[in-house]
Amino acid sequence: MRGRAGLILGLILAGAVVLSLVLGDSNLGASQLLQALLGRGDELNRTILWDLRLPRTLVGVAVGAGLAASGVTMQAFFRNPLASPGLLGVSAGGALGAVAVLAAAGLMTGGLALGGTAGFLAVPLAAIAGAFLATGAVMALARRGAGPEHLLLSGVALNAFFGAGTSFLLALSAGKFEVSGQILFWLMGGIENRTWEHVAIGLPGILVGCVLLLPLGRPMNLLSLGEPAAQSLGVDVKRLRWQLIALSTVLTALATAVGGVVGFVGLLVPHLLRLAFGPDHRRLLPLSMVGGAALVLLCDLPTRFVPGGLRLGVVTALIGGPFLLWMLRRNPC
Amino acid sequence: MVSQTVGTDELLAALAEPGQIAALSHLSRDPGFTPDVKALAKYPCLRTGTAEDILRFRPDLVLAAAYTAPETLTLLRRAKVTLVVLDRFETLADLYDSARRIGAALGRPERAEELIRQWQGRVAALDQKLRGLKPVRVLAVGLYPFTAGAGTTFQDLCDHAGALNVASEQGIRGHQPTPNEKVLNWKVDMLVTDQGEGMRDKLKAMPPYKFMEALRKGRLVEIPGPLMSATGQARLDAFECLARALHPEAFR
Repeated sequence: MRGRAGLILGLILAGAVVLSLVLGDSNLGASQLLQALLGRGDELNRTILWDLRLPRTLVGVAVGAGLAASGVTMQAFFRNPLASPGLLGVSAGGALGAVAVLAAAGLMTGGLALGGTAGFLAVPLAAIAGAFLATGAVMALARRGAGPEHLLLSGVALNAFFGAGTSFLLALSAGKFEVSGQILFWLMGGIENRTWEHVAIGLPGILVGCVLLLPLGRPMNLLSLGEPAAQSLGVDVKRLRWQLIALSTVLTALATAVGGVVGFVGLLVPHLLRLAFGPDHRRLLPLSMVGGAALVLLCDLPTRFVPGGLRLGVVTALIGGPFLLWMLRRNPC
Repeated sequence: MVSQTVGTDELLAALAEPGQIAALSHLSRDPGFTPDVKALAKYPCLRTGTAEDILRFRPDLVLAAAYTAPETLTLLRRAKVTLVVLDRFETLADLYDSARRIGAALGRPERAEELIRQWQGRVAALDQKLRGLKPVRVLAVGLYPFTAGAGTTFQDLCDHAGALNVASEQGIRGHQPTPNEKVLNWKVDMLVTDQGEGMRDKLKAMPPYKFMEALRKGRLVEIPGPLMSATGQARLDAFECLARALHPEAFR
């Protein structure tokens, strides 16, 4: 069953990657794509494949895998299937960082477009700064041995604080419609127009985070039995909790930095896969990474063709919400 | 050439040979933003405005604005597309400057100068009509409760249509929420808003406008939305439209 599940999800991800590389505004035929893939043929086609679609695809994989893995980790940490990557305020911190840069640039100079490369990198870097600020606060609490309830309440406080900052900046920018539009778009998540710099910011860190999480599957299983049981079975619970929080928040921070606020992936994917393949974290973690990557890539496809700003975060919620309800109805927890 | 923003569609259409235009922005089809949709409908338009959407037209040159997503511009530069990024839209002088920049990029500077002369002629004729008339004290209002102060296209509209923008006089810069108590003490002769179905009644039901004497006495000018926010040459139509409404005696 384990191998079959992996194969099915692997095939879905492979299909999503192919679709992500094949479909776009430019109607490139199979031979044109093949030529471009081999570095031959029309220069513009090569640019479209290598510099537009491939970075977008890789960022989508990173964002999906990172958020889904973070979701599994948070749910294991809190022993609650309602936990999600945004619970501790990391996404909200990232959002505030990005929005602060967008608002400042918009209000002072009229836009980031004049800033060249520094201009477009300012947003993900500011998002990382904001997310890591939130991560630092969470980690400081975790180091001091705060329990799940304490961390949960801290997350509520951080979410409220960063959310208020974001709302304030959005209101401040409301008179500049193009600036408030950029902010709203960022807050709805998206992976269009991603570059190799975005890949460099997001992918390696997320990859490392995911690899480091994989061996924690067994201790996460034991943690689900309760702290005393896990402790008696040899798990250093305090250390494990610290590792889980650190990895989960870093994954969320990096995914938010390069993809904006993409909701629902971290909640939906682990849930669906748990319902379909069981709660064993040794299996759930890798399956969720693959499933999350596939979900983000598939949800990104309609945003390429619908004019007027259909955003990735909107699609993930529109598709994910009803699908989760359907699954829950079929398999009540 | 591709125009990526609505602010440059109209200018490109006026300055370029039709064969030079590969595509205009997706808002070129939207009558809420584009004053003359019919004139621009003959050109293809963008779907999403992303780099790939633009590159499918294989442009040599793309017109963009300072508020265009910086990632889009970076990707276009890397695809070796020449960019003209316009960053000022507020005043008539900005329009002339934009026309010159686009004209130069198109290799048609003389066409830009010809158009600017025409526009200057229209502005001079309007100035002549309004000479000696007392400016009408106006305030921009709308269902979105913001007003426009100094440094906005509305200020430029007032400057050329025989109006005094009360918001600027009160120290407001840019677009700001209408101060809903102070505004009741401002001396406003006429409110100016976007044209819309039942707009007058909607404003009459909305504080603080419902308490303003100007609105109670029916002193409201409705300007077509695309003209109110025009940054291209349609702003000249907006000047004339507002001037006619505020100073009908000058046009008899």
